Amino acid sequence: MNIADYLSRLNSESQEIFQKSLVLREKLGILHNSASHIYEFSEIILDQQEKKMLETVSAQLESATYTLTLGLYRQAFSSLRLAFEMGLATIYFSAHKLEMQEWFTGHNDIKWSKLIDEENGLLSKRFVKAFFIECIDNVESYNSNAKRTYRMLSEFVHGNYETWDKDGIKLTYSDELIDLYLECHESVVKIILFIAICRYKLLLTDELKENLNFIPEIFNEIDSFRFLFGQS
Amino acid sequence: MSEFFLRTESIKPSDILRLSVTSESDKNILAALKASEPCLLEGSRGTGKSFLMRLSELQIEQESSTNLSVFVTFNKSSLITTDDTLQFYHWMLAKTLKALVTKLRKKGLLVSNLVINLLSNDINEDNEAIEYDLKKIVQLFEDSYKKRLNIDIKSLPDIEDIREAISTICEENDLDRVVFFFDEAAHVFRPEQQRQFFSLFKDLRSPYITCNAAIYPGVTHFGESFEPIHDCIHKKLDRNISDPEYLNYFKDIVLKQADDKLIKHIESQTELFNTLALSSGGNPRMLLRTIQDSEKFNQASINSIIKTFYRENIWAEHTELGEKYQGHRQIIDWGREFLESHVIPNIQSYNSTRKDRGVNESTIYFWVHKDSPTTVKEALRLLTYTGIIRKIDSSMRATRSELGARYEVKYGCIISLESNPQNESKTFYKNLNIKKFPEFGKNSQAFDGVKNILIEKEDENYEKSLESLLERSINVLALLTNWQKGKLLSAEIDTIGKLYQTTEEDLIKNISGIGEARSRSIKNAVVAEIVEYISG
Repeated sequence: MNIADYLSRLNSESQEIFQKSLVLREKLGILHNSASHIYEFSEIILDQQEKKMLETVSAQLESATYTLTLGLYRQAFSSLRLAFEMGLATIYFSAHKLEMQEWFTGHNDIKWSKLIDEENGLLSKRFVKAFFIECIDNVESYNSNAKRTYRMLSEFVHGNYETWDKDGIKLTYSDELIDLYLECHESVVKIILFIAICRYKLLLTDELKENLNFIPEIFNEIDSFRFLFGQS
Repeated sequence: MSEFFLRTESIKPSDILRLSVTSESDKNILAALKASEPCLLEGSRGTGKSFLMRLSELQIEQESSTNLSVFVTFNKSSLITTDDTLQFYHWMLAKTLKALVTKLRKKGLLVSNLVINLLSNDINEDNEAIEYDLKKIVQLFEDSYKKRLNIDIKSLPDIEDIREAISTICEENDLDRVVFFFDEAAHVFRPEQQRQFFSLFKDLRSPYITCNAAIYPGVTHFGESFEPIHDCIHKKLDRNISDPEYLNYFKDIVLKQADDKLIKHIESQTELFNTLALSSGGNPRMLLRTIQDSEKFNQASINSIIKTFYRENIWAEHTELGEKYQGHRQIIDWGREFLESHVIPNIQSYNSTRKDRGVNESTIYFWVHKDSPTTVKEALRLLTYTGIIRKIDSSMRATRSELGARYEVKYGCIISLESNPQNESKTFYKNLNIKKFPEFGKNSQAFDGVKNILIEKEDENYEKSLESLLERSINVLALLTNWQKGKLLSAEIDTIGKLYQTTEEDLIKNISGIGEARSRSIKNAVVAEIVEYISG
């Protein structure tokens, strides 16, 4: 067997998983819909750099899901983690323009610990207090959910022993991993949108709110979001 | 006390099924909401309309993969104040179709045309796809109502195109039908928007579409093309406190959300719970709120919360509506005054007389003549919206066989007037008799204050805004006959303002052929026009 035959065989196994994954139309629909929400949010942002970054997050999410359908689960979780980091970094940079510029020029890195810092990070009371004080009581739970989700995703990136057990080295279809991915994907999108709404709340005109009418549906448990979008 | 979900909007869809409690009457409503015929679900605020609609939305999808349910909430919007009725219609249509697009996306039946090109190199958009058409339609309507572009209304797709697009989606995806659930539909304070909504409701009718909507009891303007009796199943969400299953049903609702400590209290102090449940008059939100706000689950705390909530809070909420909808403030205030100064004292006196005489009868009901002034009916309509009163029937015979509407005052508003509501409630409830009620005839003295309240304003801006209406000719009043118009013009009552200022007595005295009945109907016509105007 030459290298072409070998890779073709992997491709054909992957295609079998792909066909099996397509049966999960509704689950894939939910994932696509969530990634679209991130894109739709990017459309209301005026700053072109921030807009482009969030657009890339949406693409990254779609890429992660595509990888998932091919049975490359470890890579899917890894891509999802990247989307998560980029999504939060976009919002962080929008409030720290100097660091954004340094990142663009390769002089600064996105540091997860900085994003998630409880005192001065993105999902901190300080940040939310500055932009959308009414959500101050919600931020703690989003911060801990972000940490939990990131930890779960990281286990696939760092090759935690348990995840090696779940995601064997062979290409094998797994309902369990698809469901776990779905859960992580939902958290990632929800956390990014939560902090994005807090950050850009002041920019939201009535017309822009019309374009984001999915927000109160996703965050029905947050009163201040529902009120912001004119619901009772 | 336990923290409760007071609004359906705060409950996650995954919790709806877990928290649901359904009575026989609820099951009947759910069946109607799941049927292929359109359904209007009427109920006051907090009675559980949204919850039942959400529940049927979930059940439809659980029971069949060929029905697609789409939930649309018409919440407050800047557009709600638009004068252009066509814009409001288009706004509703765009919102409806957008919700459909999102649902199709969630179900994996449609992909976002914004996102599909992010990864793919093939940037050719599938312009022929029906999904693309749908999105284009949404875009056109959005552009139209947002006035982003100067769009010729005639160029917009008509409702036939939309029905066609939806039927194609159904055929291509093996769907039997799309079921729309409209929540907070038909704004109660805006007659013209009510008409527009029902027009859309009817226009969307097709073998592939079923529309359901939750409306308030005060919604009465159905427009020319829609008849609630013929065009839909009309269900009322009334939870009658006399129903033998009433107390158990409400107990189940609370127990689903209560913590262990509260469950224990409720199980061991049933009478306390019963007083609270009856006080709510069939309104789960009020029951949950009074339990949540009560410091402890004992007699003193429950008595205290009943008095605070049903003597003060519930009225404050009604009055606040007047702050929100300035045009209606006088009517809202008058309605409260009528209840507090006439209806409730009459009911109280009725009850205490019988109690003193040892007659086992009590009432929370009252009756109003069918030919009462329009302003009185309007005030009562707004009280049904808040849920302080409930209309039981509209053609009940009372003294001298006169016809009128019978209403129920919320149990809590009556029992809270006792010094110890909890002690009195059991006997009071047992003695309730729906056939006993104080009556308010068509010329009741209690209506005296209602004359001229619509334009007796201290606010100059308000008066100014009414000026143009008051100067209009009486010929615009659609409810007047030509004969009536002729008679009024001959008496030099030629404007809406003049007619409004003329009393019924003056009409009878100064115009031949006009008696008590005609003068009332003429006055009702002008009041209806002013009410419509202040609502717009």
